[in-house]
Amino acid sequence: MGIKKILLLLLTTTLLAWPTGGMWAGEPAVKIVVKTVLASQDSTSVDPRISALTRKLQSVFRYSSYRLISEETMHLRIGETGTVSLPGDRRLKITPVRITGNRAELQLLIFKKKRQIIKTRIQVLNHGSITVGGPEHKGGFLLFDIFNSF
Amino acid sequence: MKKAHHECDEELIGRYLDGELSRKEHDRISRHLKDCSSCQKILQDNQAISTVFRDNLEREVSQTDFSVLETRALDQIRQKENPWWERITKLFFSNKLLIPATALAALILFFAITRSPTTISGPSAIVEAFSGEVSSVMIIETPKSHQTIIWYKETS
Repeated sequence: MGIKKILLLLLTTTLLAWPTGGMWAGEPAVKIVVKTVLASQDSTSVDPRISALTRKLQSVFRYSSYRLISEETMHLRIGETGTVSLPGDRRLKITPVRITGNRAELQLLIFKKKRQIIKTRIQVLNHGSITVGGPEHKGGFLLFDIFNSF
Repeated sequence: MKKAHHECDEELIGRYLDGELSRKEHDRISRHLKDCSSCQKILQDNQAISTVFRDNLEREVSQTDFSVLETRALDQIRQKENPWWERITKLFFSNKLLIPATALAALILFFAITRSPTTISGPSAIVEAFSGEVSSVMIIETPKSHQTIIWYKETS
């Protein structure tokens, strides 16, 4: 391959990669992925789809089983609210408030039936996540891993 | 041809006027014209037409801007020799553009790669505010991965 072909390949790669970096995007949209996991002592199975998350959780929790119940992806603009249905008649409402540096500020509301259980405001690293957990469900505990990227 | 040498011939007179005859024919027509009034008339008419035509032509030529025509013709020739897509290709493949563009592309790629969060500094999330109907809440950060966890217990 000639030097000119290599240079052209590099140039093309950059041009193709540029828009995905969000440099040309207008109003930023935040990609949110919510994974609902059931942690329990029932078995020793670990869902391979959440192996990375499980490794993090295993450093502080002693559950033997981590099972992915559901996964939902949303693209939300600043100020836009997305809702995710959770087990046990629960709902999670997520609103990106602003982006500051490499963190997105998110407002999280968890409801059980019509009752608001928690309200929190967090700053999550770009390509990072926060895990919210604790509700009991079917002999185990629910964990909601909320990932974001922008 | 015999007829032309010895009798009136309008075509020969025209060629005589244009200087297209051989010396021999030219001399013969000259001699004939001295004695033939009808051929003299034809010659005079032809000379008059020729003068009018030449004068008009010279006037038109003097009014024409040949530099514009020349420029236009040269442009057309250049375009045919070197079409626009060929010129763009030449510019794109020339080192004058390719090397700086590639250097810029390499810099952008470098910063894009180094900018991506391969290593996490600080907690994955900072909890700014928390409220709710819970009996207890813990905010935990995992040791190595710095994953932030909010663990709460719902009130019954």
